[in-house]
Amino acid sequence: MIRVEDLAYSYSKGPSLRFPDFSVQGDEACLVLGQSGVGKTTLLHLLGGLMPPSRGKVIIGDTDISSLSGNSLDKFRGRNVGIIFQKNHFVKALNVMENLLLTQKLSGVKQDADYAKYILSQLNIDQYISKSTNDLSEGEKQRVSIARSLVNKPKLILADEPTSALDDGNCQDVYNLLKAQAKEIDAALVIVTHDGRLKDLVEKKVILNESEVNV
Amino acid sequence: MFKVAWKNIMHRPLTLILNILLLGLGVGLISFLFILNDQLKEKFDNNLADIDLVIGAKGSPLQMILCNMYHIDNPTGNISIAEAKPYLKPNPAIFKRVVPLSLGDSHEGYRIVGTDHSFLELYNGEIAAGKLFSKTLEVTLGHTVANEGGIKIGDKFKSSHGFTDDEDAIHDHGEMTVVGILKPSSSVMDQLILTATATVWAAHDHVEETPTESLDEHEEHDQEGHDHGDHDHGDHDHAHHDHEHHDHEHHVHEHHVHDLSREDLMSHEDKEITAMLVQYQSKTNRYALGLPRTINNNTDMMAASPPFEINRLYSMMGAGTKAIQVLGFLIALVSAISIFISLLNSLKEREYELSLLRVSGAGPSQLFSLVIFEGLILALIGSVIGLILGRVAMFFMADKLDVSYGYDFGVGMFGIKDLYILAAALGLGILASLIPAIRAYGLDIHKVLSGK
Repeated sequence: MIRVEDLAYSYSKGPSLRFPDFSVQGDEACLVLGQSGVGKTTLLHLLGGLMPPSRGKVIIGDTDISSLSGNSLDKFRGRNVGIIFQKNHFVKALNVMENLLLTQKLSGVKQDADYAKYILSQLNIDQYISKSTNDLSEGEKQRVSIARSLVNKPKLILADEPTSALDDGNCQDVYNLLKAQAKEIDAALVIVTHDGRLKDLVEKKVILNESEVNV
Repeated sequence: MFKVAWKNIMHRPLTLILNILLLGLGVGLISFLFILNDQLKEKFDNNLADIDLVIGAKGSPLQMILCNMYHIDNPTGNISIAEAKPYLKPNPAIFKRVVPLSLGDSHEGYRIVGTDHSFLELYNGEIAAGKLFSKTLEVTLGHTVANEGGIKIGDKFKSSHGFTDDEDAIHDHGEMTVVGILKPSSSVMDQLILTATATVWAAHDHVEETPTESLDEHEEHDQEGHDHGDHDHGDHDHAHHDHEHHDHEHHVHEHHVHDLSREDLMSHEDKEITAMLVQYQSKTNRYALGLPRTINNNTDMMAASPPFEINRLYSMMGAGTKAIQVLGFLIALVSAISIFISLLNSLKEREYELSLLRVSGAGPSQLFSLVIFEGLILALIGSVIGLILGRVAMFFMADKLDVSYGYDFGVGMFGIKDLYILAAALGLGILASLIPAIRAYGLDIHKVLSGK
């Protein structure tokens, strides 16, 4: 589970952002909604520990990640947070399976090829197991991204606009997939989006709005 | 991390090829020069044979040394026995050994050296088959001559003038007989055909005598089975004819029966030899120290010290090899810059990729080592290819050198110098990847991932 308390971030040359407190339990899903520029991606990066907050706490499980730094933060993130970015990038020199195994390796968990294969089959992309990531379509790439975020069985899954490029049918599919997989490993799922179609699917919502900016 | 670095490099084959070609060329050039230098030095040093002085006709001292010790140049001229006599005379107080040499002829590219048995002592020559030459027109072959020239004991041949194997230059007189083959000595002796001084005279003086029996009592070790009446070879009739001819028309000493003794050599004051190789009893003897000067000032002969001349040669070669070496270093440096640029470029392309590695749990130091690994792998492949390239170049050069120097050049073993080259190249690789690695270390993943 994840809990956010009194979180704020100030860009050195730019706006200061303040975020509302919220918490998401394991197997629960939460939507972070808001217009462009209200700090959705910034919040996601703060939740994932990609940068330290100016103030406040991000607690994942029992750990306040704002108290971690350096290698221990990287290792904690690798082990406990799976992130699906807006753009689907991979280590180009490696194939699909190797990318997943590398993700396991880097986080320091034991490499488990069987689990990686299982995830791929759950996402219906096990036929691409030894394909170069360059040769995949965008939709397939996104599924590999999702697989990568799941492969370490994290406590928290963060997704940045995972559905913005998809049609209605696929949008629902991807959400259901994420939801099901998160539930299976008892992970909290946080989706950052401005995609209105997801509003009806997810009960819990955190709305970022202008009033929170420039505090 | 190493595996990822490897895959990353293999993912960009063109960059890989450019980088390793450049580095390979630089390293290859440098290592080739090292091998060549080593081998030349080895050949020259092996053949120094503790010779303190070479005495020959006036001319270029270096040429005299190259000719008489290394057998890769033509003689500076000849010296008369009359002049050489004071030094040919045994003088154990001063000289340990004075070896007379008569050059000028060759057979199938191998030089014929007219000398006596003291020559073999210089190079620790030992007989492998047959026996040592014991009379005029008998020859004993160096190991390589017998091996590669395909000449056997009992073979007869006529020498040709000079060093080339030219049909027109073949002497139509003085057929020589192979009586023995030497063991390999890993010195220049392996490339020589040894015979008595008188054989060279016989080949050049058209009226010279044909084989006569050996009277040598001093140095002849190997007389078993030696038949004194050995008159059944092909030139018997001719020889006999000559003999009669001389009986009537030539004065006494041309009928002289040559043997291998010093007395015999010194008695032919009107004859010539090419040079003398001198070993002192003691290098610091006053007489020995003053000898070169005495000879150069007071006689028509020239004396030169082999180590001195060879060092002069090294320093002359040094300038040329230095220039090529600088070129090698420059190419290696350019390759380092090329590795640097390609790593930096690929870093820009891969910022997102590297950020993802961080997201997956890689620390900044792991990204640092990833980039260093990539530089190291490039440097390693490049320098290994370079070392192999140097060998290949040496392999092809060896043939040419064999022909022009008359020596056997090998490809050379991998040694400590290769390790130095490898270490230097790897150092270069690290240096080239250092700045890109520091950049990877300090990557701002938030900035990259949010696309700002």
